[in-house]
Amino acid sequence: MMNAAIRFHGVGKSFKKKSVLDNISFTVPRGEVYGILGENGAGKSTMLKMMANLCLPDQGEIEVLGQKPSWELYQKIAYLSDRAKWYSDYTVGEALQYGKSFYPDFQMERAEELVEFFKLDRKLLGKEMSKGQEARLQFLLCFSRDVELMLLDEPFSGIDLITREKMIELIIESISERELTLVITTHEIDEVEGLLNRVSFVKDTKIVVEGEVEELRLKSGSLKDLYRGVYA
Amino acid sequence: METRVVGSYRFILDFSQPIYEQLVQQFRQMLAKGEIELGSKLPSVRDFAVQMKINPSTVVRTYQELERDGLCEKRRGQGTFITSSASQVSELRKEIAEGALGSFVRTLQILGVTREEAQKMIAEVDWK
Repeated sequence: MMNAAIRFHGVGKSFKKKSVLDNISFTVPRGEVYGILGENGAGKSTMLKMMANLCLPDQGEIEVLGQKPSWELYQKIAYLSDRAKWYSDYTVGEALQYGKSFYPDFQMERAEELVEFFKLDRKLLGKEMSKGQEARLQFLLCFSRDVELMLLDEPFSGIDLITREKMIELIIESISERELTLVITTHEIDEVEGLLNRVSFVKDTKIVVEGEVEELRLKSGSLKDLYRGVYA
Repeated sequence: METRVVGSYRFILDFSQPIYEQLVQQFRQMLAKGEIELGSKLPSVRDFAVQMKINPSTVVRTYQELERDGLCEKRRGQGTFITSSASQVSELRKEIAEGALGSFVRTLQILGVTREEAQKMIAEVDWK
């Protein structure tokens, strides 16, 4: 099915005999913003890592952009995770150069625009950044790439309001301008309530609710209501 | 409920209901009330989505719905425009008023109010 950006079929994973994901099946249509919601430790990040080929499933099958996850495929995906802090010893300007040398699809012109957009100082050093500035740099690096698929792992967690609003603005602009599939894991609903096309709620290793957000609103109310229903 | 402003438009969003339906509904109300100038240009999908903080596909769906009802039209390379037909808008106004009248009548019927009583009530109501 070419219209699927991502397909999970019966995916399971255990760490040290403890199951973290059990029989997970879902499809992310191309060009949509897909939310994986759930509390901390629900296995959301593991799902994202599997899409990025950074973690292999024990059972089941995964397809990303019509292929099995691979290192070649990973280079065509922008994956944002809070843990990858390779830029500590670089300034913003150096990080851009690094991005350009590392990713063939890196758009330097776009990156320069985004430095302005995010009001970042080019001379600012990675390890001297606030959490908000770090988030801005990570987003900038991610959204300067010309890719079809972006995987954002908890992008809004612990980030100040102004930065979060800028991030949302950049996401909406980007999906207005080109076909881009976004998968976002989060436990912060406010940010994504208006943004998501589809969503899955993960709880105790399983997907407990999955569907088109506008349809879910008709059936069960807001994502926030649903979230309370699932986790409270 | 949240109020969000796009240019001269003000929308109230309730995330427990489908967003595109609310936008269509509120556009219709604004048009019928004469709050939107005939033939005016609607914001681009991108600007609308950014300012409302919603998915652009929701905006596309809203504009499509309005277009299907003849309330706006897409012009190649120029954007989407509100209809310039005054009769289209008066048709809409009538449609909304009839809908409100229908539910008004049903409520009174349930209460056992007769047509004569209802007419008397309307005649006496403070119409400001």
